Amino acid sequence: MSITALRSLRSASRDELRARITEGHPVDPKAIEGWVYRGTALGMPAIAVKLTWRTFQKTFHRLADGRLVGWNVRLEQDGIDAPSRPKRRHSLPLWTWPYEVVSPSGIPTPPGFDRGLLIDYARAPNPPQQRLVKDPLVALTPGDYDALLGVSYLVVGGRTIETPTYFTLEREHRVDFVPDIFLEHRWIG
Amino acid sequence: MDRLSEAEREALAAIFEAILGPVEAHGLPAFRSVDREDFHRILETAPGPLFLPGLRAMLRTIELATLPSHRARLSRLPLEARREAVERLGERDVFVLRQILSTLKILATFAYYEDPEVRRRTGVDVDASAPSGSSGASHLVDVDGRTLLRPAAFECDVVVVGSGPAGAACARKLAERGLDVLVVEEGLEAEPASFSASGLRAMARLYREMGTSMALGNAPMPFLQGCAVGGTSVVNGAINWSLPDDVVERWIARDPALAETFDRGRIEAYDRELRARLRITPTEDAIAGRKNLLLAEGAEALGLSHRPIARNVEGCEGCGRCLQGCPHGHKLSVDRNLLVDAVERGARVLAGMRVDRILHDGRRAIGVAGASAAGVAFDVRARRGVVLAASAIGTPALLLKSGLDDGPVGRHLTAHPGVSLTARFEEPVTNFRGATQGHEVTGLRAEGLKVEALGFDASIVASRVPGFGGPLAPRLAELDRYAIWGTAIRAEGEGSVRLVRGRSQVFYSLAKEDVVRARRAVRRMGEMFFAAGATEVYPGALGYPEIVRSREEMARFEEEGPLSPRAYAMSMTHLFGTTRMGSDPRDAVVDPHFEHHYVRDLYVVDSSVFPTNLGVNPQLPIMVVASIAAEYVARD
Repeated sequence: MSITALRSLRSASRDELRARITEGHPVDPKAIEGWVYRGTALGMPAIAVKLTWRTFQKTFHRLADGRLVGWNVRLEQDGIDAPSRPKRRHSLPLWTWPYEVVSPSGIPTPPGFDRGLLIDYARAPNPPQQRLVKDPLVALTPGDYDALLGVSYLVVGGRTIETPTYFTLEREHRVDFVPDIFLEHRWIG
Repeated sequence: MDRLSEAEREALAAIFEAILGPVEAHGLPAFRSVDREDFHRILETAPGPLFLPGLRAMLRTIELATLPSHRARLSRLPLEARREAVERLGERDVFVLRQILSTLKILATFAYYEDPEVRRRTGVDVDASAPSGSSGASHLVDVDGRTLLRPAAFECDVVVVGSGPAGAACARKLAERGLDVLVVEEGLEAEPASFSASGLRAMARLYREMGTSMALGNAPMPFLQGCAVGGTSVVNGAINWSLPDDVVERWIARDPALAETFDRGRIEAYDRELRARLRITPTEDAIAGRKNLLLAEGAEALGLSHRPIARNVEGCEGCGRCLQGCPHGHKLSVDRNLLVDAVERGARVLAGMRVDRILHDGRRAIGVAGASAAGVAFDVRARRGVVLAASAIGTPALLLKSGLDDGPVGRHLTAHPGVSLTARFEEPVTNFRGATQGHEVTGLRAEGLKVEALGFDASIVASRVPGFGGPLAPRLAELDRYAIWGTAIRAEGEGSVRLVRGRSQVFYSLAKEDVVRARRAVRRMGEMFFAAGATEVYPGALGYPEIVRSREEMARFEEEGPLSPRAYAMSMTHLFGTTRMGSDPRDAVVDPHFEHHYVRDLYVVDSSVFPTNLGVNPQLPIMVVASIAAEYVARD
């Protein structure tokens, strides 16, 4: 899928976006590891965009033990199509919400949300409320991993709760920075 | 995409028509004789994102200016009343009004001279609407960002950001040393045969943000930067000076650690080599054109030393189109030599690829990332080093965007602000013909002034002759009588480059001494004009008579001319110092070997590292310094 086509999803309805998730295609973990993707939140109310963020980055990094992990990077909100500019602390990107990327098999998902990979925040050292969140991730065209679509849902007491938080991911650049918790093997699975 | 509404287009056309005056009464075509869809499309796409909002604000202000007197918006007045109103507004000594009217006047002349018939009758090249796209031929470029539709990753030893004089000179030397070099350039490769004679189209295609970038300060000033493979060398006047000894001595006196880097023998060796490679030779009288010869006559009469400008050209025909890009390929911009040398030694050039960020882990730079002209991401991994040659604005902005704000990055911006003067001669001067900048006065350098003849497209010359409405039209009918000279001032003022919502913004204020120098420059140029036979000189200084008619009157300008920085319509040229070099990390961004004080394998090689301004045109010094820098990049 071209970047232009991916960006056209910005004006898609939630029903359309949900259909894209449930009709999505598998994602090859090897094709995304070592890369930073630029994320754009879709379908968020204007007030939520103002208070939080519209654009962000997601990274995919393979640990020495074979697990595919990642973290979000907060971006300066310069505009939806402005170049990514990470917020920084001591010149390093400000990262949040670490996660592990896994296959959805055996994990509760809403119907049809199991077609790609799953970003699982419960498998990372996050606060309890963040550990409830999972993001299914699908390719929009078979074999094309430059443009991905994701959505967040919650797992509470074994039950799944869908949210309206959809996002697109565009491949951006290779990982240039790995947070210390991954380098020092302090990762808690 | 933001677009002008039909009502806005119509209002602009009505105001342009009024500004230009009754041109048809003076044998020129009427303003509304051609369709201007292309003109509007260029305005909507080529300038920076602040241009259209700014234009709308100016339009609203000028529209309302006639409400008190006419009870109607300017554009709604009948043509005669509209012309008269514009004429009256132009006579008022109000800074904001002058800024607005000057901007609208240049847009009006840009629009007017798009008409081939106007150009024909003015005696200038008529191919204003020549194709502005690439011919498709590519000699240098490995990847054209317009065709990069999927994210891409590149590997190399050294990535060089920017392909202008600094980037090309450094890449050439690195490639000579056997390194795998990748040059990344935001602009596109430009084929001389596709260069348009039109000032508007040239600026839209070859200049960053169509030349609409402004430095903010006590006198807002536009500044121009090229945006093409070859950088500003594609659109400059091809002027070359050696790095002056007195400047180098001052740098070393200030920081003795720079002595090894700026060793005189090393500088001279590179200077000689580059002069030979770029075929730098003095401008010949045969192609100089009248405007340059008149400057020689004026300087001679005043006893000021002067000389033909040494330019990097070969076979120049004096078509006067250097600033629009030489259509004959006779200007030897760096895409025609230094980059060619680099590519022959294995370097690759990516064009239409904007670098947005340096990839680093806080201790070491490992590459760069950005987006192609098609809007998709790319990154480059560099095994040996990242070299920044993105100009004194682009380089600090890139560091700041990458979170590298250690030291005085972006501060200590120095420049050569320029002030220009227009004069009328009884004889044809034909400013738009002859070597664009072919003669210079060197005798005022001790006073911090360097005078040059300036050649512009007719549309720009038309914007520089005085008057609005009625008085302007007859002057447009005799446009070949006007000459423009300019002075670059070695200024004391300092400025900065900062990020505003992720975009670079230049802030710069003239020091009091700089305004005094600008005033002296106007006087000196005016005296030379009269000595050369001019009948009228237009100081263009707010609060001063619009026309000066004698040398004696001109001499009084230095005493009586205004001292407000806003009184002069100046532009910024030659920018330096925003990541300056020095041994103290608190006072400098890069060390004496061009490497970032805190981030290994990150180098800056452009004019950002110059500790001060030079007082002369910096193209050759930039190439010399970047060649020296390559020795350190390769060594490390």
